Amino acid sequence: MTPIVEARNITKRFPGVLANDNVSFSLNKGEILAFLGENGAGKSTLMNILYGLYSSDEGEIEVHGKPVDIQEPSDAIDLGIGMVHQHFQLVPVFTVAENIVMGTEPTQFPFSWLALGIASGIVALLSFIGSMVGLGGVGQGLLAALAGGGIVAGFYLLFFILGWFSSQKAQIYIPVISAIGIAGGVTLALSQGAPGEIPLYIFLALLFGAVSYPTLRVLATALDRQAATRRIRELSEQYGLIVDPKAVIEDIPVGIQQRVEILKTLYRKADILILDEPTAVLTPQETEELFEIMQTLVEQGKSIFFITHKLKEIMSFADRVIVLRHGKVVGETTPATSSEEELAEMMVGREVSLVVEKEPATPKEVVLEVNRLCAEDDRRQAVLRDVSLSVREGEVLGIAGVQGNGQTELVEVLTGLRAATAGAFRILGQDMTNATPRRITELGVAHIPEDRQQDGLVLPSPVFDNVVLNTYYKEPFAERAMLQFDQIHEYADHLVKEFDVRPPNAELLVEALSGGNQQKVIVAREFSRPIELLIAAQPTRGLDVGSIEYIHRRLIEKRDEGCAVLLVSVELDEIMALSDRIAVMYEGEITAIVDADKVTRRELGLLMAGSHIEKIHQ
Amino acid sequence: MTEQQGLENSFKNRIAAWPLWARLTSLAALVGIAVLSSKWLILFLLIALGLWPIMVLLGLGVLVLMSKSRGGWPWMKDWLKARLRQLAVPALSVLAALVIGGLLIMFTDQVVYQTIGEGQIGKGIGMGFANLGRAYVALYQGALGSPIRIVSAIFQAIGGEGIKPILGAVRGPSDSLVQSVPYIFAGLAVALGFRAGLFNIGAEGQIGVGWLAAVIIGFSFPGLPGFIHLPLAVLAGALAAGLWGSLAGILKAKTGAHEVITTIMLNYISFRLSEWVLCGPLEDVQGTCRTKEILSSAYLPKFLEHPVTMHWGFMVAVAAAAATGWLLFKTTWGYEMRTVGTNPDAARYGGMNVAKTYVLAMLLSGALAGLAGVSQGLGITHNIALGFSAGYGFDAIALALLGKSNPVGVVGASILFGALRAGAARMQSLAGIPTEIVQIVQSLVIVFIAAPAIIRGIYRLKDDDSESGQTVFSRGWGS
Repeated sequence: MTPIVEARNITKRFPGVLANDNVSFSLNKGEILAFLGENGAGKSTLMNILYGLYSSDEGEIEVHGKPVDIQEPSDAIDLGIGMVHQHFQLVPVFTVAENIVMGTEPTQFPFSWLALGIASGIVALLSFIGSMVGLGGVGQGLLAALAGGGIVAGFYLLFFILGWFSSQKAQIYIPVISAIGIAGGVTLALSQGAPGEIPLYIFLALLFGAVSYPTLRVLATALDRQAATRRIRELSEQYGLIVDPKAVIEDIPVGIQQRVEILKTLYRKADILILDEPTAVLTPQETEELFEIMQTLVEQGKSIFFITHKLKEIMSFADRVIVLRHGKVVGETTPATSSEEELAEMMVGREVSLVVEKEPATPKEVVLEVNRLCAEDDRRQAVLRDVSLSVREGEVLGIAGVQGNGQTELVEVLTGLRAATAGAFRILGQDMTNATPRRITELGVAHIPEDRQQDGLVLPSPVFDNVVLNTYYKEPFAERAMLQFDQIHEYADHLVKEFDVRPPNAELLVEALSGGNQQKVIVAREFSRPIELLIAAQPTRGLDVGSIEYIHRRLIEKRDEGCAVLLVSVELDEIMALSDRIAVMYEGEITAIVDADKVTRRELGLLMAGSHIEKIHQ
Repeated sequence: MTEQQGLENSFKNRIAAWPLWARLTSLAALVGIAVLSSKWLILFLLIALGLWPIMVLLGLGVLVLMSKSRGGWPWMKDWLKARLRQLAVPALSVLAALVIGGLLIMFTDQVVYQTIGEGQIGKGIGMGFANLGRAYVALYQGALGSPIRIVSAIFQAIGGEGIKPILGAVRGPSDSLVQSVPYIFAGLAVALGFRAGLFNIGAEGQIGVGWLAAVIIGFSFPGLPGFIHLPLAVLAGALAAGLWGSLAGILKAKTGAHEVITTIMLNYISFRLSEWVLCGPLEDVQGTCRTKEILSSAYLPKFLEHPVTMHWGFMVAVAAAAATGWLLFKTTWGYEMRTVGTNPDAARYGGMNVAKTYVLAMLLSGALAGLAGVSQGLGITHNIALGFSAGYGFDAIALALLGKSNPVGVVGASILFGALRAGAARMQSLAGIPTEIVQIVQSLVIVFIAAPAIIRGIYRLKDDDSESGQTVFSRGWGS
């Protein structure tokens, strides 16, 4: 059996970087092929080449056994390749159906020329009646106009039969065809009409052309949209992608938006799907659902490229894995014949310990004490309901929960970024309820924010500016409001080395760093000042195994130094690996606080889904 | 590069080792010498501007000497390349704008049309070129003076005729610098706003407020010595405009009202208020809509005699640019403003008071804009009349863009615009070309700067990624 996609010796160079080095791979029909690699290993570049967003410097691609030249995404779409990007390409204020149809409207369906034919017929009837009741001149004029319209319709029909109406080309053809039609109509009018009435004929022909085109477009679009909605329904039933075509994108959750993206590719008749890190934005439940969808797709004959750096996902459902490192293929294997450890080692290039080694905690004084804390979200809905907990020095308290159950807001309240509506919390015995972020920071609280690019970093600024983001006003970085750049540079160079930020250059803009290294800049900043309490929200989201291992080790080091750690994560494995005690949040409440070594994964999962601990133990 | 830094550092360290009193006295001494010899310094500056090709050659000579100790030609090549790359887009934008403006001059002339209409196409086009030549020679002389005249004036001066002929010859450069003063202040105001993520469209209104306040103080205190009266008037203008500007900052901080809307509205309020004040309570002679003349003790002194109108405003403007740069890039306040400007969420996370920063930035931005009005009121018109608004505040947005929100860039762009404005007046009087042509050229420069892809396309320049000013600019809308 010939593979459905085969790529040989793909090489892609960016200035100063070899993004893909002689990469070869093939995809069989009905297969899920996973590409595994660290951030910046060249996975996305490879898939962008396949989808026509980049062109490769060397190498060749065959699809369905034929060599192809993919210059731009429309070529890829024509070949039946669809891509779901990591960042969705949807218009938030449009409906699902509009987003799916966008770019393929309006002439993919026969309704455009059908409607034109009907309109021409009506005009013919009118002109016939006109000439009957004696409006000779006008009748002839209409006839001339009709001839123009008829020619337009003829061309539409011809082009439709020839299949030239792909999305972009139609935009060029339609006005050209219309112009030809009108000119033809005018010529016909000239050949038979009295010369004195030529201006009238021309006017009428132009009028017909000018009015018919937008009218027909509106009509055809409406008809197309109905057909599109029907087709979307069919597709979503066929593949188990349940969405409401009339829902507006901004109102639906991320998981559903992703389904819309998948539907979009299916709607364009894709049978080879590229999913670029599809699980990075999903909750565990949504991830499960995605896997089911992918299973259905494969059963129905689609083939899938799947990019990830999460080992668990690969083990659970990929058919085959290709591991990339520094743009090269370093190995190809199947989940059945290898272990997570082996894959991790292949990907990072050295031995990686997936288990966090730690001694039992030796908790001492209470550092953070939260007492019946309440807060509202941006829409003034209660998101925190009487949250009470405490963290002691030398222990990690993990907060588990499905995303969106109040963890984000809890962290914001504790760091002074959101007002508490009731209740109180004390840090080191001092009441810090509704204190400013600066007061809380100065008390020795470090905060690794959930959204590192939004809150934690100033992306267009250099690393050295970012490492003093919350200490810039203090000595030695500032003296009497004057920044001491010598000290700042020295400090930044030191941190970059100590925390192994790559490339090790504090002058670089943070936006030029990879996600893992951006996170290292935050960790370096927060861990390098005297702290008593560390609040870490999703500290390893979107990072590769090497960076995760590093950050986990640093967290435990801080705990052993006597720091109190509050860890918030939606990754159950992370919570279980790092925490000494685990609090479960569900709908803004702490539903249970348990010792980490006395709870199973299954129990935690049930708690996160809203069950009560007494029920589980029964 | 490192060697150069090393040299600079050792120099810095040596000065830093001095005791404070020594540093202060030497600074005061330097300033004193500069003030005392200011007349000659300015005269030299103006001649240098007029004879800029010679200065460029001299500069290159110095560079060659410097390159001897730093690696010779390769080092010099890199140095020049880096500078030229930065200047390429603005310079080529000006060139392209001048070419298009030239076409307009050639083909908007009635006589040229008539001649071409009569069938004498060659003659018509020839006349067009003649117009163009006359217009651009006048533009150049109005902006930078005639180099030949300057050289001959210098020889006359050496021959014992005094500096009078030189003064006449350097009128062009002087006018350019005088025109650039309000541009520099207003451009700095908008640039400072951009850096803090604020789009201050209200510079025009702030100019009016500052101007009015300075003039009121200027005519109100007879008998006050100049060294008190002048700073008092300047500070009053800056303070009034700053408070006026900070209204928009307070509104943004307290209610979230977008500064683009509020500053536009504050513009209208300040225009109408000043109309009422100028044609009402403060009107000097019935029906003129103009205030009294300020007292001579509040004049911004001129450096030289007529016809050179250079006044101390230029020095203040350059000092303001230096101060703005220092504030933005060397102090914690500037760090806060820049952080708030690029990522307000991260600023909040870092413990900064975002609301306070907005108010502060608008206060400073308004004060800088106010100084533009102050320099006009105390340096040139010596009063304020109806219709004072000359569009400096709106051109300032373009200047901040052109200068990439960088004080040095703003000063450069302002001098360019000042020169175009000074040249336009000359072009109108000598060649009869309407000043609107120069406004078109100015607008085209902005279009090309704002869309560098056009210039890169025309001249096939390579793309570079140093568009930091533009990210700052677009934030103003995005927030």
